[in-house]
Amino acid sequence: MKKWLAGALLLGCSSVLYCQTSAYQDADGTSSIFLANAKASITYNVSDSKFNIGYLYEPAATKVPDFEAQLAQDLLHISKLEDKLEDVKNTIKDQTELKMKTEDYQKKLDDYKADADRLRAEIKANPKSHCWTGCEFGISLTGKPESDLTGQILQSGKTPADFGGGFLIGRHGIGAKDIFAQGPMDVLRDDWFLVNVTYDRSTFNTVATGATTAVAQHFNGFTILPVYNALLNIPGFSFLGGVGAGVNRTNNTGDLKKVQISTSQSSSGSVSVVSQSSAFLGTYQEAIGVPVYSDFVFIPKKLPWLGIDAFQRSNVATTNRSANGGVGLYFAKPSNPTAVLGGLSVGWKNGKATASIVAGWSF
Amino acid sequence: MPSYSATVSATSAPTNVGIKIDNQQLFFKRDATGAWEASGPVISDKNPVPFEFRAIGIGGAHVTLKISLTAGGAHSGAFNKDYVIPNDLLLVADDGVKIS
Repeated sequence: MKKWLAGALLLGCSSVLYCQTSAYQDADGTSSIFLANAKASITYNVSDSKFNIGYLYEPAATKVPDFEAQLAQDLLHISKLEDKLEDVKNTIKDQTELKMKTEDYQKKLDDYKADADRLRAEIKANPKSHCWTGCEFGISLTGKPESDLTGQILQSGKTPADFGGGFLIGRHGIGAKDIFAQGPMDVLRDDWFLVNVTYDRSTFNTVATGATTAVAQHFNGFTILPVYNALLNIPGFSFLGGVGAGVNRTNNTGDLKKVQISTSQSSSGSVSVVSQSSAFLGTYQEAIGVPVYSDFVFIPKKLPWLGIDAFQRSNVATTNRSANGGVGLYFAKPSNPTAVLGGLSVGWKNGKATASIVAGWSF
Repeated sequence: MPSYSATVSATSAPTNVGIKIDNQQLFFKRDATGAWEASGPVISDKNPVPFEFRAIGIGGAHVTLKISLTAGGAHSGAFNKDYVIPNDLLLVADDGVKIS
């Protein structure tokens, strides 16, 4: 597995693909399902105030191997036509018929030779294009615009700031049969493996319990999450499953209480001037986590616009260990069942109930 | 002698499409939109040219088969047809295209 992944990274082989984070998200905006729905897509997790913009690009599908295959066919035709032409000259005695047959074969021969020349030119003009056939390049941006984005990027935000980006790279067709080898009743229709790499930067204040001053925190988070997704054909449903496990750098702001800190600037008589800023109250911690995510999306075959996602999110590291889960309902375009327009989910996180609303658009 | 190129697009990911002409698979690739593009073998003077294509996707997803024909570098025809992925998630379609 390491060999082909490394090869894919270095060479951009034909199975490499990039996808976008799907809209099958929990209240924290995480998912283990990644899809290539469109050139670009936007999801907005209302509960987490988090947006994700993904863009995909694929180079023109100039296919040298196809040109080479066509050239081989042309050369075969040329060889056969030359044989036929020679045969005609040796066997047909009638000059009128000979002239007609000769001209006919010669015209076809000229056509094939001209096409062979064209194909040679195509091969010469695209010496390396086949290396990129099937590759897709993508980027994603994420953010939590609770305050102004400029302030977040410049580390002057007053609320938990979060802005980041990332990329995905992977391989399509791990265990699923070739499309032409599949029968109507096969269960595993399609699958893919990819690695999601993201980085995000956030700036916020924390204040320890009992302390009188806030501390500015500048958090650099990352996630490296290998995931496996599969599309299964099961009775009554289209099933889309995802499992992933990796490593990330997290903090515990989600478990701390969000408070407002008032700092006195000046006072005169009955008037006092204070400035306010947001902070997280409690003992702030950063840790390396081991996220384990899974999603099981059931799309009823008779209602392709509806998706039901049973999800699980865990951190199995010793610090900030957690186990979350829930169920979501997602609504999509009937003609494009994985292009989720909106959805909501309910779940639990460390014993507390959570709710999430997601909106998405592909274009 | 006309050359042949084809594009198949599907609206639902994950999706795969392959195209066959004269029992030869032309391509098996996917791009970001679920679209496929290929340059196939020369079709010569066969008319119509039968071909088969297959698509994998969520049941209900739409697949659009787009074929454009060129002869001597000039566009000479187009062929578009819409399909819907059936409940078994695998679409197999046979069709033909006229070469003018």
